[in-house]
Formats: sequence, C-alpha cells, structure tokens
Amino acid sequence: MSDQEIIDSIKNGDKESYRLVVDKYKSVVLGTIYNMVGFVPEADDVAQDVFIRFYNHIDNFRGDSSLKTYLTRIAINLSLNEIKRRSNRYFESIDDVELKDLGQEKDQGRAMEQKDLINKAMMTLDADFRSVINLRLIQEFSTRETADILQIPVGTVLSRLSRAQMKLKQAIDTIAGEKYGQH
Amino acid sequence: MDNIEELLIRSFDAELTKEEQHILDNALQSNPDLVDYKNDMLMLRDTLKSLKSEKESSVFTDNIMAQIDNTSLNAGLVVSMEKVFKKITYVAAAVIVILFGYNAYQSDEVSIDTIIGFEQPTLDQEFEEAIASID
Repeated sequence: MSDQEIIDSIKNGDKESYRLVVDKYKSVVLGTIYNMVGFVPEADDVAQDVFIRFYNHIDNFRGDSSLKTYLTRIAINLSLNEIKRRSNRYFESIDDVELKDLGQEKDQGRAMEQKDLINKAMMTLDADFRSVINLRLIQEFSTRETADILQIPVGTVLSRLSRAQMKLKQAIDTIAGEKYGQH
Repeated sequence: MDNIEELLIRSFDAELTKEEQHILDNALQSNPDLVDYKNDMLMLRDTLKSLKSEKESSVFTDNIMAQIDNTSLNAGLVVSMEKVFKKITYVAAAVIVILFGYNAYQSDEVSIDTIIGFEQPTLDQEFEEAIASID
C-alpha cells in the first residue's frame, strides 16, 4: 500500500490506517526531534504532537512533497518552537547530563562516549546549524530534500552545512578538552 | 586555512569546480594537518549517521492512536451537541412565536404588552382602583 493510498483511506474515514503512517515514520520523526531538542522527556511529546497535528490537518496534505519530507518538516518546526519555549531550561539540562555522565563514564564504551560527546556538541549549535546537520548527515536526507524541508535554497543548505560541520568540530574539541583536561 | 577547510567540507556534499578541486588537491598534498582534519571530519560524519533513531518507544503508536480516538470522540460530542442545541433553539423560537401570536389574537390588539402576555386594565378597573386608593 503506497503512502498516497494510506492517506486516501484515512481521508475516507479509515482511522486505523493511520497506525501504518505512525509505524512507518515514527523513527525518522523521533530521531529528528531527539537530535534537535535533545534526549529529554519533552521530545516524545513533541513527536506525538507531530502525528496528532498531521492527522487533524490531513486534508491539507496534497502530496506535493513526500510524506516523510512533510512529517519531518512538521517535526523540525515543532522542535524549533520547543527550543524557543525552553531555551533557558535547555542549557540547564545539558549541565545535568554532563554531571551524570562523569559518574557513569567508566561503564560506557568508547562508541557511546563518542556519541554522547557529539550529542552535547550538537546541543550547543544554533538551531539553524543543528537542523542542517540533523537532516543531511544524521537522517541522511539529500541536499534537495533538506532544502525542501527547511524551505531554503540548496545553496544555503550547502553553505550552512559547511559552517555547521566546522562549528560542530570546534564544539566537540572544546567539550572534549574541558572534559578530559580536568582529569 | 579557514577557506580551505570550508572548501574541503563542501567537497563532501557538493561537486567542486575544476579550479576548486585543483586547489584542494594541492592543499591536501602539501598540508598533513589538512589531511588529519579531513579524516576527523569523515569520522565525525560516520558517527553522526550512527545517531539516527536510537531510541524508539514501543507504546508510541498506541499512544497516538488513543489520542486520535479521544480527539474524534470529543469532536463528535461537540458536533452532536451543536446539532441538539440548534434543534432546541429552533423549537424555542417557534414556541415563542406561537405564544406571541396567541396572545395578540386573544387580546384583539397588537402591542408589546399584549404580545408578551400583559393584560391592559379596562377603564372600569382603573376607575375602581382610583376610588379604592381615595378610600
């Protein structure tokens, strides 16, 4: 069953078919949100909001872009709202995570530690940079799809992506320096 | 260095012009730090891919479906209440019009008082009330 067939079926009143949409796209929506707002409890609420909003306005979906792109666009927009809403609390939560991780460091494998470091560095980036890295390099959307989701030109995606990667590398170096320099 | 780093990173995602590619290749040959930087960036990009959807709640879909059910139920309740309210409004309006018409018909005159059911006192009644007040 194609996405369009599922959507048509939902529009015709088959509510249960929406389960197929959620099952198919929950990982990309959750992944996008986690990498935007961090692994915080509110992330699940934002993800649920994405699917509820889409369901409530399903008649607005005309199929101009793919369902995956459309849902990811909603996920990015709601994540940006969430980031704005709790910008102060957000930095507090990073500090909390860092303190907790210092205690658990011995139990974590190198790969987990590396991912953790990148997650923290990601959270220090501006939302614009975070979104391009998230979409292009983590969710592996093409440059064109990333531009479509963020509704910016392809050239802007490329230039933002270059700067974002440089900033991410700098942030990783800084956090790693602070963390390991202390020991 | 910044420009060459930017060029290097851009080369991962976009095709460089021949001239840009030439500059980058030369820089990579002559600058071991840039080669290290390239390797670091490639490793970073690989690690970023591994951040893709690590956590997924098993009850996530059920929660969404339950919320949709509630939303539909609430929406249905609002729609049916609107329908009932409309019917009540129509019936009440009809009853009021009938009452007004009946009152106007009974008193043989059309005035606000007769329509809403107030009886006009007759001249005899007014006279009797005036005498009673004198007494």
